[in-house]
Amino acid sequence: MAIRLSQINFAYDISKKTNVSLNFTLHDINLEINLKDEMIAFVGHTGSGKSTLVQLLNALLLPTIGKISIEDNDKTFVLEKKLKDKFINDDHYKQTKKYRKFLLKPLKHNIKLKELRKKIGLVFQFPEYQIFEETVLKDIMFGPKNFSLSNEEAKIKAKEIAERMKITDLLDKSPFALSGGQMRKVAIAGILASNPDVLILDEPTVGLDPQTKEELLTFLVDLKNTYHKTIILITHDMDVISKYIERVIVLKKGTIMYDGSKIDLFKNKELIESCNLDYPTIVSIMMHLKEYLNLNDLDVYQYNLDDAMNEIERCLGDNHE
Amino acid sequence: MNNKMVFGQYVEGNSWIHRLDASTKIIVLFFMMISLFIVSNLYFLLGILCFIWLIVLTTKLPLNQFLKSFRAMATLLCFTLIFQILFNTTGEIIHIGKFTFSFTFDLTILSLIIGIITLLLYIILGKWIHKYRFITFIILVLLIFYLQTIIHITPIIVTYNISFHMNAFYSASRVFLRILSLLSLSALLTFTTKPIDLNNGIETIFHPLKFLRKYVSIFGMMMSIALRFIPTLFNESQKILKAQASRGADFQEGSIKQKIGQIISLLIPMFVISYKRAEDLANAMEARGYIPGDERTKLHITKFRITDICSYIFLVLFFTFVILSKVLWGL
Amino acid sequence: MSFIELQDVYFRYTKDDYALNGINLSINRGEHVCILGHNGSGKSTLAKILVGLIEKKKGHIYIDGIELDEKTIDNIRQKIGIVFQNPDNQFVGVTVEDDIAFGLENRKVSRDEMIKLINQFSSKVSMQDFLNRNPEELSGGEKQRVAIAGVLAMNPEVIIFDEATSMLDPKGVKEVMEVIENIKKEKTIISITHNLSEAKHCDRIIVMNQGKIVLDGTPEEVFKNTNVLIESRLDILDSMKLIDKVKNSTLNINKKQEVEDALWQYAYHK
Repeated sequence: MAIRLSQINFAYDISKKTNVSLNFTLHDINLEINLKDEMIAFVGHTGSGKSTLVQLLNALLLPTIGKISIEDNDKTFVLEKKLKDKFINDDHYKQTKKYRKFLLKPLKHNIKLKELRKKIGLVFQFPEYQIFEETVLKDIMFGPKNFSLSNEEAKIKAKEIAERMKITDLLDKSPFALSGGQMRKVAIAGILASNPDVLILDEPTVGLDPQTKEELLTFLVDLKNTYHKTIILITHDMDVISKYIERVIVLKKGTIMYDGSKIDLFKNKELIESCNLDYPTIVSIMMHLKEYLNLNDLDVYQYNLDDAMNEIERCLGDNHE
Repeated sequence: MNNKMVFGQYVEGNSWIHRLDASTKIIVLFFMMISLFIVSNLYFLLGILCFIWLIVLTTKLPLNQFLKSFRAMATLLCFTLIFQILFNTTGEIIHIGKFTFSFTFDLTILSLIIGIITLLLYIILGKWIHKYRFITFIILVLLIFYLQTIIHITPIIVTYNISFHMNAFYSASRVFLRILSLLSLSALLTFTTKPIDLNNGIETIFHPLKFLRKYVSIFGMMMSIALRFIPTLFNESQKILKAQASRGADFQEGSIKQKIGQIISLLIPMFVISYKRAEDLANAMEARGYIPGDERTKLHITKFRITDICSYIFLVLFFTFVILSKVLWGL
Repeated sequence: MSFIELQDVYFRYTKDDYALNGINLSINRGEHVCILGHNGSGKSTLAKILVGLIEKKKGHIYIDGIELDEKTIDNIRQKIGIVFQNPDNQFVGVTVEDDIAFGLENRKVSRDEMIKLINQFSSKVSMQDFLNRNPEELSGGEKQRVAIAGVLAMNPEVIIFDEATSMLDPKGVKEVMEVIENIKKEKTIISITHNLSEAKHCDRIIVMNQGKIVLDGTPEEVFKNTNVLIESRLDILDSMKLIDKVKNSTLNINKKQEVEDALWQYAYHK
């Protein structure tokens, strides 16, 4: 039960003319994501290709070259467009019109993209892009109804999700009268109501006040723990990563620079610098203490305040007593 | 990313036409267009068209793109030509040597039946034949015409008389040359001028008219904001489309009722977002001291170069010549 | 009287819900003031009132000794500029230079002067090489810098940044913060934000909640006052939380002091 991306390349705007240069947004992406129990963050600067990548996962974009397969209990979805082996390293071929024609050919698939989108839900950054119904309830029902649930079933589903997200009091309101944080919750509920296995969220915490942010993230963690969903976040916020995320995927200029645990990521100084990432606040505080107080012994990689305090106590206490 | 969407037909370039001031271009173009309707002499018209194309060549515009811009008007052009040829029956009949362009043919019941069958065939086959559909259709129709000249078994319904007259040829050519020249002129303008410069050009032209100035400046501001926001709103609509697609909205399949629902799911966010943008923009403009209709200075002003002056001199000479030729020689 | 003076200012959008509920505030020339508050605390309403986009219901506002009303608004707008939150929605021009010129055109500045100012202020925000670019080709941070140049070119005495960095990525935030840091010697600056770590560089922080000013002081005073910050639904800096923990820790007094100093150092400068 996993999504597998192999050798994915993606380019927007491919020109037929060989004198117009080709710009691939993604290069040779290989990635495997479980459909269950994962908490992943995609990190990277604007233009790193992270939003393109999540749109590929959701089949809103289809790969220019490469293979995506999604294995589920009963069936496997495959999206594939392969370059013949003999051409893979053929630079001469890649200069030809034939290659351009090959790139422009649409990817053939035997599946309904809609079914795939039901499995993998994507919440965009701005809820304004999707909210349109008169009431919150109807808006949450829009997704399930599209995925061929009846009106009644959709209503039950929507109410269930609203209860889980603690927004039942909003159901009869107009979605346009809500605050930013509430709107975002409604948008997430609208995707969750179709019961996807994987939930992808683009910058879900930007612009939220600290309480709402905390609520939302705890809800997502709970979603993973209780309902065994896979949650993928696109985020710039290293504090969110240090608190809530297990696996981090770092993208830079369309390639995956790192795929692994957050702990190893923050210890990898060169990578952090070359990708121009920040440290989580606590780590950077600890680094400051280490430098300012000359504590060579201090282990700066702490991910919550209590651990940080214990480490300071250990380090400073030992020296004196 | 696909963020380099350019609105309009502008082609980047640095020819002398590109560098001409937009208001010059608009004025010259306007009077050239008028002169096209004053002149009725075929050779004169042909001369003008050749002249326009000569200018096009000097701009180094990609010619295929230039020709493509005529495509939309091609049907209209053909239609006018056919119309002229069929219904203009004055002047002598065209003949080359002994052969006169005059035909009589009969519509018989058999050919009518064959015609209907071919039409049906065409519609059915059209599903499979994509590429040469139109040509196939023409060939089929011609076949029917041919058939009925050799088969005369069934009774005749109507007899048609088609003849091609000299005047039809003249007027058709005149229309043809005029439309082609008009299209070339307007393509020349839009290919070499950015929409925003066009807008500024129009504003400059109307500026001397005091009673209109206020409205022109408001209208100009509206146009320039529209031009500024068209690409933004286009990107926005793409995002909304994707957001709804990920909620399972399917714009290809489904019943009409579902489709309407899905179109609404695009339109409402579009309106809401545009409204929010408009509100923010109005605030930003007001805070930066914009007062609608008030006098403003301009960053982009008419830069009169030697080529602009030459263009005007040429225009005056050309236009006087057109008028004179009309009055004196009736060309 | 100080440079900006608000006396008992009230404003409401709906009938009984005051967005500004009796604001008394004075800001001196050259100060860098930060107004902190969560979404809906009234901070953006305050900004809009100061630049005359909405009209107060009650009270008096004086800017440079002139009372703000319908008659003086054009005059006052010359003294006060504002940069808004959404980089896209305040980009009026079709290109960067057009956008910087927009305010100057309204102000009827001559063309030669305009070109001089555009060159001067586009280089001030390091956008001099982008003058002919369209907004679609620019990042959010770049668009905001253009907006700042547009405001600077009009030479106001006060510049308000109304959540000007909240829609940007970290790189954009950094760029814009650098520009603000650069101009704060010359102008009175009012930054409006809900982000505490952006507030630490200013001289004075004003915390707003429910249309009222609940805290007014130096960053140090405000950061310490964690109770009010929590009540106002604001974040508390991790370094402050850690200071609290240090105070209750088993370390000896000297060590405590040392660590605390180090953490304060961090809170201000990092």
